[in-house]
Amino acid sequence: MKSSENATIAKARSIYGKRLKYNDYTELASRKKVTDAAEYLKKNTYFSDALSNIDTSTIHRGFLESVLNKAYYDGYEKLCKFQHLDRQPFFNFLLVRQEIRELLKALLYLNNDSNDVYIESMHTYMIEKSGIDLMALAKAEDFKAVLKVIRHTPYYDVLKNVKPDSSGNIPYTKCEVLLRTYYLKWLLENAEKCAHGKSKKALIDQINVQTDIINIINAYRMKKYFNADAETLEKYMLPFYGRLSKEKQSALFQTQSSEEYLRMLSHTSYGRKMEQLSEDMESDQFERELVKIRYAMAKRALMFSEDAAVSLYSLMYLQEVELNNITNIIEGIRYNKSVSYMENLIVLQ
Amino acid sequence: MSIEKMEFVTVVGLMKYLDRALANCADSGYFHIADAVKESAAEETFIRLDGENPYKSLLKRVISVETGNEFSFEKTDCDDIAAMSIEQIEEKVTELENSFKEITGKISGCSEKITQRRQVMTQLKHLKGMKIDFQKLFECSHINVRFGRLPRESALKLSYYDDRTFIFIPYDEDGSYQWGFYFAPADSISEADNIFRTLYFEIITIPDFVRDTPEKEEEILGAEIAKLESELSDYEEERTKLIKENGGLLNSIFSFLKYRYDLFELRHNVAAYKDKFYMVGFVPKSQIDEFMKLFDTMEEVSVVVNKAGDSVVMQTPVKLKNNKFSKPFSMFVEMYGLPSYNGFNPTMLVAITYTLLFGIMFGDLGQGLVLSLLGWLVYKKSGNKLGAILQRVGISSAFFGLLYGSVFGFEEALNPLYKKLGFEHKPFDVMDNTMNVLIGAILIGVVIIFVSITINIIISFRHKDYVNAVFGNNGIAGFIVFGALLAGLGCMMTGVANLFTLPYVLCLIVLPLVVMFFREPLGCLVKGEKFHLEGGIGDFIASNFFEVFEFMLGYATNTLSFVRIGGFVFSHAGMMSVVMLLSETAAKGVSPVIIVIGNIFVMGMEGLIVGIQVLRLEFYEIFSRFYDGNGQPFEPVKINYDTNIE
Repeated sequence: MKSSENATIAKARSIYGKRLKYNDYTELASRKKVTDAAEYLKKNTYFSDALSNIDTSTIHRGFLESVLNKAYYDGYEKLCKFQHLDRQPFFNFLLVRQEIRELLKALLYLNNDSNDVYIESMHTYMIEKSGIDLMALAKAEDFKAVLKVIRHTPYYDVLKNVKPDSSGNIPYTKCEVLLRTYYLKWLLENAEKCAHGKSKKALIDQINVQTDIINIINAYRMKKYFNADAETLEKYMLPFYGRLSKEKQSALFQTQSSEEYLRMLSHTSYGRKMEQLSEDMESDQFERELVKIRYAMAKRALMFSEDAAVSLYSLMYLQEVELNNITNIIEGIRYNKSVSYMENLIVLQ
Repeated sequence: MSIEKMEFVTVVGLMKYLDRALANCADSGYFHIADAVKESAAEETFIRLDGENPYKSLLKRVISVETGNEFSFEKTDCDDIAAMSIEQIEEKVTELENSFKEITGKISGCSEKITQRRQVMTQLKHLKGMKIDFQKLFECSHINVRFGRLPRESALKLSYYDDRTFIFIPYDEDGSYQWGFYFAPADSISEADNIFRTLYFEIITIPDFVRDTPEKEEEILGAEIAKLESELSDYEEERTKLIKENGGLLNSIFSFLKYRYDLFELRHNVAAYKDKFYMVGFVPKSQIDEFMKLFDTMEEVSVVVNKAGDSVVMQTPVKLKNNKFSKPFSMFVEMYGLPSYNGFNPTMLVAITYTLLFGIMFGDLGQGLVLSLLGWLVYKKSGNKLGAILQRVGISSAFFGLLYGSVFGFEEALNPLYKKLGFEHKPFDVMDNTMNVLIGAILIGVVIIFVSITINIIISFRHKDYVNAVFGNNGIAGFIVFGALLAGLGCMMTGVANLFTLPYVLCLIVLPLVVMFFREPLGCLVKGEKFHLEGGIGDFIASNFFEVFEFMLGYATNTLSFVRIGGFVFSHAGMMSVVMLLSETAAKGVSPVIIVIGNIFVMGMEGLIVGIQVLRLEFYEIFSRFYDGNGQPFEPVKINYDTNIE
């Protein structure tokens, strides 16, 4: 343990202590209007600071979500700067991930010829934080223009060899795999340099589980909705093997149906840890069960870790899940969903 | 100092007398109504008197009369209303509703206008300095304009729309928002509206009455608000006058209806058979004659009195009977749960032990008297039982303070008094008697534990619970083991004798432990029942072994738990010595301030901690040995004149 990082570790734990509890979620879900939910968050949760200058009585759902997202990122930045941890590359993990997300969103909307939709969905706080000129990215009209925008960023080398088809369509899935692979490689390399001993193992273990879960979910979706075969899956999966060995992954990919896939998954360490796993379960329920596994792992790491990198990485994941819970509830309120429906979407351990 | 004896009362009569019978019960103030249908469960012919309360809707209307916040309902004489028919009352209510509605409508209309104008003024503040003539602006037919506020973050995205046919002009900033307006040609305003919607722009409607420049409009609106405020004040005066004129009538109607409403609600507990009603409840034995007299004039109604506890389905409610000294301590007993009807009222025991232990732990003549005085004031002002408790424990503190020679932390202040009484020095110096204080604390604990075990033995015998009375850890077996261990250890440590001889150990320790181990089969044997071994012999041995082990551990930890009494004696003396030390080292003028603040601090903090710690000893070390706390409180029916109805 680096004694100089103790304050960050303690701070991360205390921030987690202020998280929304089950009661907060049920209170939130019982609100009839988005403005009431915003008012609840302002008055009763640690988001009160972020919402202090916002008029919650008229707030739009999208703006509320944007404020919460910004608060999430600001919290991360504040923690990194607290003990100048941001000088170490690993601690830029959230910035890199958000940049990749923005880039992927821009490519997706560019394919659909809907730049106006991209500018709408762009996280505004990223305009000033990102190394990519996001306004120029939003205005890019083809893949060449995108490459020009990212010319001086590490993402240029990742995407430079991608070729759009004759009608200008960008192979999005390929870009997604390339960028995600780049991110995970970057994460693993910097984790190796940043942490040592048990902490390094804990951090790499979390990244491995994260990778496994992405692959498990993507493969399941492709099996269920496109009945994808093993060859296709191998092509589009992230080339990392965490707790699931290459053989086990291949065996999963070779299953003939999504039901068989789930049956086989139930014999793996992930399947055994899932609270619910049945062949007829809904896709989003399946994903939630997997998120719970990572949530529990991150929670444990935050509680027991003596390393700032592990603490911060875990905290940011736990807060991301919390943010998703809140967003789901806000959307539920907006679309008049029942309280029980919204409660089912909450991931909490 | 026991539990009030109850009588189980059955009231039966012709249905037409039900209301009078219920009124008698409610007016008596000592009738605890029970569910008659539950009591008569075996009799299928009885039906519950359910149904919509006929007074509900009218009562709701009365409560909803728009009287504003100036008026609150209260119980009042309603003889005049009783002489009226329901139709006549309804007419009166309608009249009241209308007159109050009219004036309240005027008040809220006026308030709304004021709020609206104030909101507009807030918006205009952001437009100050801009030479906008709203009238001209709104009259433009080819250009449309929208005023409002844009989140500052969203403004960053505006450069993306450089090539679109709209212009956004910010004129002010406020927290997270930029105040401004955008305008666009009429044929592309909808596109601009869509874009600004995605940027979370909040359009602020400028009402039609705003026609001039912001400065001029502010002036006009200011004058309008002043006029409206004066109008509002007149209307409010008018309503006050109306309340003065009609408040009495409103209260009379409310009292009349609420009385009947609550009486009707009691019907849910009444059973009916053909044209007869059947009502059951509990009345304290001391008031039963008085209760019977209430029905003397009602020949068609008969009241049958039985001994409480005869009913197999009804749990007899509990009313604690306490003397003046112990009465406030019933608060602690009720906090834990009332005893069962045939149980033991521990209030007196709590009162004595709590007062004694608090006094020992918080011994200071001056602070004790202040605490007592404070308690008296609190009780006098608010009727809070905690005040009465403070009054008592404060006197105990003062008594022990006198013994320790401590007055507001001054340890020598009472020396002249002791000398006059013939003592050479204070009777008991806490700091010179460290071991005595600690041993004394443990001895107090031992006595309290023995008393608690004895109470449990008596109660268990009374309830014919022989397992608990004889074989349990708080029964005779436990008493013997605990006594033998303490006597043996005491004699050994003081060097009087070594009692731990083989016969002593075998007869007074091992044998009672074996009895405790086999308490369940032995209990069955005494009752003449067959003992069923659940879970096998291994399970029986393991679970009983650990339970007996836990009992032994419990005797040790519970006894040692009382060491805290001694701990707090030192803590109090220690804290006060710190206060005195600080005052000695401070400048002359500051010294009294430190003494006063120090005393207030110690009284507040330590008083609270000692209070909690003694309560902990009461609940964990005393109550856990004999008390169940499963009793149902005695709650006589009464008419409640509040406005919450359901």
